Order: sequence, then C-alpha cells, then structure tokens
Amino acid sequence: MPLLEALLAGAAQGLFYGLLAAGFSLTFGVARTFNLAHGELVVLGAYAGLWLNASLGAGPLAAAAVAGPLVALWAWPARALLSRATPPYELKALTLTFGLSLLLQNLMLLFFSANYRFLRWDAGEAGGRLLGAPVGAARLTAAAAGAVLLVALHLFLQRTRPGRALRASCQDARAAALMGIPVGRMQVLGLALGGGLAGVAGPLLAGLQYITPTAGVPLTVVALTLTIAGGVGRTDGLALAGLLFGLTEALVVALAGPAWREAWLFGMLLLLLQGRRTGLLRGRRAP
Amino acid sequence: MRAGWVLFGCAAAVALLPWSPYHLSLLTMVLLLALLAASWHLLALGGQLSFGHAAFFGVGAYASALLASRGGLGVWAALPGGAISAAAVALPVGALSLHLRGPYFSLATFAAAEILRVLATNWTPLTGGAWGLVGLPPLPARGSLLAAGGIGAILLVHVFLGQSRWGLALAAIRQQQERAEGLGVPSRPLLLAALVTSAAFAGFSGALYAHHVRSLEPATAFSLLFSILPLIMALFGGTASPAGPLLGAGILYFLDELFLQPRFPAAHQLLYAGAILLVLLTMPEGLLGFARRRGGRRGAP
Repeated sequence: MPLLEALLAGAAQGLFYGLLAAGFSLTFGVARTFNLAHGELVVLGAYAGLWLNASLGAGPLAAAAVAGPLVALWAWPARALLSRATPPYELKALTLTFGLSLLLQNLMLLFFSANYRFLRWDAGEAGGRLLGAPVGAARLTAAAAGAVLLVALHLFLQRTRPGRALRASCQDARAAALMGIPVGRMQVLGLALGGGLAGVAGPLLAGLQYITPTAGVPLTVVALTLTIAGGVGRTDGLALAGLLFGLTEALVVALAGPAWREAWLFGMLLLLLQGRRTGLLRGRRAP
Repeated sequence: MRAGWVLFGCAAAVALLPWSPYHLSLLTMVLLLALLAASWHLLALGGQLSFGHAAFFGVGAYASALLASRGGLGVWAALPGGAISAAAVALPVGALSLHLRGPYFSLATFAAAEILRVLATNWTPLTGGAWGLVGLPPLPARGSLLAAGGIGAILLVHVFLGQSRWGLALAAIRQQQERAEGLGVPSRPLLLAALVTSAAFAGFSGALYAHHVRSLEPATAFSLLFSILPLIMALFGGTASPAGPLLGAGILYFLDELFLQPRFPAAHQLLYAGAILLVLLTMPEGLLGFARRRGGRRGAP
C-alpha cells in the first residue's frame, strides 16, 4: 500500500513542519516581522548536530537538545539588529532578515562547504511498522519530537504566567507594558524560544534529508505558509495546518510527482497570502 | 536626476571605447544589471519592494531566447518580444499581489517568481526543462549599448514622472497609501502601470542576458539571485534618485567580479549580504543619501 505509506510519512513530516512553524510564528509575534532567516537557523542547528554526531556519536535527540540552546543565543544579536530598522518598520525588518539569511548562507558555505551531509546513527537504520506500512525511525523521531514540543509550547503559552505575559506582549506591547509586564525581556524570550525551536529542528532534519548551506530557503517558505494559514502564536492551528500540509504534500508527490512539490508549496503561499492575516482557527480565542 | 544622466553619459561613452572581449563582457553584464536595478526602482517609487523581479527577468530571457531560436526571429526583434512578454506576465502577477500591502506584497512577488521557475523547469517541450536552452544567437556587436539604451529609456520615464501628476501620485502612495487613496489617488491602476513598466524593463534586461550568456536554464534565469541583486543594488545606491540603483549596480558588481570572486569563489555573495545589512543598519538612504548628508547639502531628491 504505497499510498498509505506516503500518507503516514506525510503526517510525520507534517508534525515536523508544525515545529518549524511554531518557532517562526513566535518570532513573528514578538518581532513583528517574518524572519526570512528562520530556515538558516534550522540549518545552523543541523550543522551543530552533525558536528556532535561526527565527534561524539550523538543521536538526533541528544544533538537537538544541545543545538536548540545554542541557536537560541541568536536572540540578542537579532534584537539589536531589529531595533535599528528604520520606518517603514515592517518592510525594513523583512529586508533585514532577508539580508541575514543571505549572510548566514554564505558564512555556512565558507565554513562547511557546499557538500551534502547526513546524520547517521545506529538506530536510524531500523524502523517500525505502523498500520502495516514501514516507517523510518528518523521520521518517527522527528514527528514525536515535533508533537511533544508543540504540546509543551502550547501548555507553556496557555497555562503559565510567563507564557501569558509573552502572548500579551505579542498582542499589544504597550498595553502589556502598562500592566507591568517586562516587554523587552519578553521579546528576548520570544526570540530565544523561536530560535531555540529552529535549532532543535536542525538535527532532526539532518536525519531526514541531506543538509547543505542553502537547504534553509524551502523550510522558511513552509514555516511562512503555515504561519499565514494557522495564525500567529496559535500552537493548535499551526499543528493542524502542519498536518494538513504534510498530508497534501505527500498526496501531490505521490500523484503528480516530486517535480510539482515546489509548485504546490509556492502556490499555497500565494493563495494564502490572498487572505493576508486570517488563519484557520481565527476568532475563537485571542492568539 | 542630473547624476543619473551623468552616469548614463559615462556608461555610454565607456561602452564606445575599444575594449578587450573580456572587459566588453563585464560591461554588458554590469549595464544589464544596472538596468534591472533601475527597473526594480520604478516600482519602488510607489513604495512596493519586489522580492521577485527574477520572474520578469526570467520570462524576458526565455521569451526572447525562444523567439530567436525556435521562432526564427532575429535578435533585434526577439529582444522587444522579451520585454513585452514580461510586461504581459506582470498583469496576472499584479492582480495577485498589488492588493497586498508592505511585506505581504513582497512575499507574493517572491512566490510568483518561484512558481514561474517551477513551470519553466517542468514545461519541457517549450523550455527544454532543467537542461535549458543552449547555443542561443548572440547579441549584436556592442550589446552593452542596448543595455545603456534601456537605462536611458528609464531615465526618460523619470523625466516624465517628474513633470506629471503620476510621479506625485506614486510618491503619495509611497508615503502613505491609505491617505493617498482617501484623497482620490487611484492606487491600484497606478501601481499596476508601474509594475508593468518595471516588468518590461526587467524583461528587456533578461532578454539581453539570454543572448549575452547564450544559454539558459530555469535555475539561473529565475534564480533568487536576480530577485536579490536589483533590490540590494538599488537600496545600496539609494532610492531617492534614479542615479542610486545605477551607482549601486556599478560599485557592487565590479567589487564582486574583480576583487571578491577571484579570492573567495565559494562565498563571494557575502559582499551582497554585507551591503544590504550595512545599508539598512547605518545608512538607510543609501550611498547617495549618505554622501549628500556628508556633503552638507540637503539637495532635492
């Protein structure tokens, strides 16, 4: 049953996409700009994971646990850069992250070369069967890590005081400041969480596909598309959008061939942009 | 404006001097990139930053290449065909993007360029697919003069805008679109006209590129590079005057080609990344605005 196999893989990939989008949308929430360097942060995390894998034999989960905090450190330079954007802020900040993406790509080219790299570990060769269809261990790991992190992020944002303060700062920074919320610290927290989630995704991705310095661009587009579809800071909406996205992607690839995957991806982006800021689950509850 | 004509005159004069084939090739390349940057700037006059001018560049390149190699047209007839095709593609692109504001417009143009790249890759019977087209007919001798002519035409558009209400209306849209619309400025048709004009020149630049390089593949003709370069060159030079994009293209391309590429072939695009960050962080008005401020003159833009 190749179609079932493709759909299972698509669902797993979808959860991983949800993880990509969660970091991207958190960054958007606090920085008020799409971070076009998000994919490069993921790739940076992937290279950290590949290095840990090669030198210490770390598996993707252990590598992700180290890469996440490392990439989260981007919050400080990012905040310094974005605070220097001149009006019109949204457009300048977007261009700034575009420049940052180009800079990171070329720095990685300089340091890591354009060679294709892949994270190998013993358990990765194994795999299980789900509903009778084979599923690779790397894909299961990425999907499980994505699901766990999405749930954890959801609980953090909805149930804890810092999480609520973070959401308040995203909604209306001035009002949040008047309520005594340290908005500046919340912005750093949001950027660090966004970068950290990108860093965690890196080593997981390195077990799924080959990594090159320019592998980040399609990841950014996926995260961007999902954020427009799922709504900003809406972990549930992002997870749902990620699943739908992974499943339809698998269908497109299975039925029309891998050559049309990108057309479908950018077509979705263009289509969803037509409705601008609306999300799948909008309106019921504030982000 | 005057600086723009001075740069144009210098470029045209330099293009007439006797050069080695290598230097002539460099000159053609820098002039067609300057043309691309100046075309991008025409749309930026209305406050819209395109992240997808590779769409028009690529369509112009492919249309001209196909007209010349399969349609049997001469290069002289194929080049305007490229410009017209790009302008025609700008109509649906504009319909899908011009109702969006700021970053959303930029992202829509980016998506449009990528969709066209995938179409060019997969429409193998027409475009030759990922293998591309080779052995295209070359530009006439002194092809750089054609690029210079395109730049001259863009300067004439600026002269027209400077003397008409259209220029004022574009400036009003750039400064505050809602207010301009409230005052009765028809922003959609104006921006569409700006986009179509901009696309025609970008397409002409792409057509020149096709016959200059004499081979095309979707991954290069529609590459993100041809969306990034005009944006960076124009912002680096400064968008307050038509001279900015020309200056930016000249400085960055020669720095890249003559100094960086020979030394760091793998990562020579660091120059472009550095240039865009430098401009955004330290001199938001670009090189010309910076020089003007340093010179103490608050010249008219």
